[in-house]
Amino acid sequence: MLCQNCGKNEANVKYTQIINGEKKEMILCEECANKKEIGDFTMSLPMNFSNFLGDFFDDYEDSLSLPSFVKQKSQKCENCGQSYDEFVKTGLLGCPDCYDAFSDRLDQILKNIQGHIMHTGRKPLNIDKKLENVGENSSLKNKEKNETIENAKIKTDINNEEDELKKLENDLAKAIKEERYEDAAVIRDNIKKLRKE
Amino acid sequence: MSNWYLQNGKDSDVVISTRVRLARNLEGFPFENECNNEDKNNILNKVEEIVPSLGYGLNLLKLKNIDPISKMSLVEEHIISPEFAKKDDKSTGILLNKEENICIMINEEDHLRIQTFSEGSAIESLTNFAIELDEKIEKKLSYAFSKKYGFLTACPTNVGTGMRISVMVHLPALSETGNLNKLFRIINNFGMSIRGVYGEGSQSMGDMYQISNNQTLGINEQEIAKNMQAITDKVIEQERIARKYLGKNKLRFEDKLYRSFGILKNARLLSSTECINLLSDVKLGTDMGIIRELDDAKVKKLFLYTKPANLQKYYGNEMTESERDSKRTELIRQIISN
Ligand SMILES: [Zn+2]
Ligand SMILES: [Zn+2]
Repeated sequence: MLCQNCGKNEANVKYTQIINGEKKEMILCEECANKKEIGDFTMSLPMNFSNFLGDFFDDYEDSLSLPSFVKQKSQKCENCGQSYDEFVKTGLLGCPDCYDAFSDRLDQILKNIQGHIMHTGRKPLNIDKKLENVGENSSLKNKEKNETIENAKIKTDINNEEDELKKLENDLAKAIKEERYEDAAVIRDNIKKLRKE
Repeated sequence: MSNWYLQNGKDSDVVISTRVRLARNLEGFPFENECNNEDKNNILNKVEEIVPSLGYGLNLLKLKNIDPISKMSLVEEHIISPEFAKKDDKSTGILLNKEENICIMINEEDHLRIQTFSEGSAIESLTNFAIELDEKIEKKLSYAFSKKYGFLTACPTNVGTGMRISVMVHLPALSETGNLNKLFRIINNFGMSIRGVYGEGSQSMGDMYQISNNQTLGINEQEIAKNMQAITDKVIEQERIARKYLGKNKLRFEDKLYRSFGILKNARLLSSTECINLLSDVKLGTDMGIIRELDDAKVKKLFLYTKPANLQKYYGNEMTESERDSKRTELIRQIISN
């Protein structure tokens, strides 16, 4: 988000001013914030995202008109029925499936508030076991030996896919940053293809 | 008194306490805000089933069975959130151990909020402890997890690791020397937030602040802990420098702190707000070795038992605000002279 005073720099300070008992809030860059401090502004708390999440998401909606390649996916999550508008209002998603349903727009938001769109922390211990189970089901009648081979294959496929995804996502971010929207559209299609596989 | 919040930890002249929180949701349920009563009940029951296998002396307490004063005292000890305490439905609960250094909130904004606590600065050990706990739970319950986004949470500000580390710090000298705003901005630039613990807006009572990480996605647990440690160390260093600076004008400084101690000791009516501000001075004086009449344990007790709910819990009966203001001073004199 840009500074509401100069409109040039990235805003990272929230200011509160009280005029005739009415609270007015402004989002400023550091430079302007420093200038204001000498004047009649008093600094309130720093940005606490969860406090004004709603504002943030709304702002994002506006700037979203820019990259036209963002395909408008279904407006509602098929699992829980929550709409994207409801999410903007409350800042809360309805269910785990919402992340997939709104992934295009969520990625934009996450890039802004988290700086990243890919998890790099720990995974649940049983997550690999679950993947093995998927492998077992699809090859139910195979002998044990075949199963292990297949499991190994599934795993490496997933890893390659993951690396590929990561690379594409980096490329996408770069393309958007450099405003190469046509390139971005192609990369995005590739990502979608890869995710469906 | 074995509860962590009455003890003194590492760097306790500046760092009051540390908390690590993991946000987790169970697979196969909507997030809490979309859950109906049956969903919430099922979640609570699922958690109840696994309590014996977790160990740590954890007990399930349903919020509706906790009396209002005890509930509020848990809020004052920062063990449960004020929003959670207000939730009045039948299926909210907490898993709490006797030492109260583990508290898992059930059906908060996320199905589970796993929290570990410690006095003083204990970022790394608490992070490891929270993960250890998490690993025990995930053996029994399936979490909502995505390979891309990590642990899925109701609010995208928590997604990924779901981990939030919070460090509560006492910064009277940075405040007195006019350096807080600068510090706030630096902390912001590091992707962390800082806010007053008591009171709203920029007005923070008692110069108590809480520093937390913002980023939870695209960063791993160890990196979050490392960044928090680096910031906390910096804050400790700056606050100590500011204290040294204030100490240079010895007579004026001592006079200020002892005036606060004098009021605290002799007042016959004290509101909780005034009390917190006086205690802030008294803690500073004790930590700097200026006020010698008190020790760390007494200061901790003073901070805790002068809060409205804990005061009532201590005396075992409900009181009006004006009754509290008077009883508060009685208890203060009792703790000081003991
Ligand atoms: Zn500006
Ligand atoms: Zn959903």
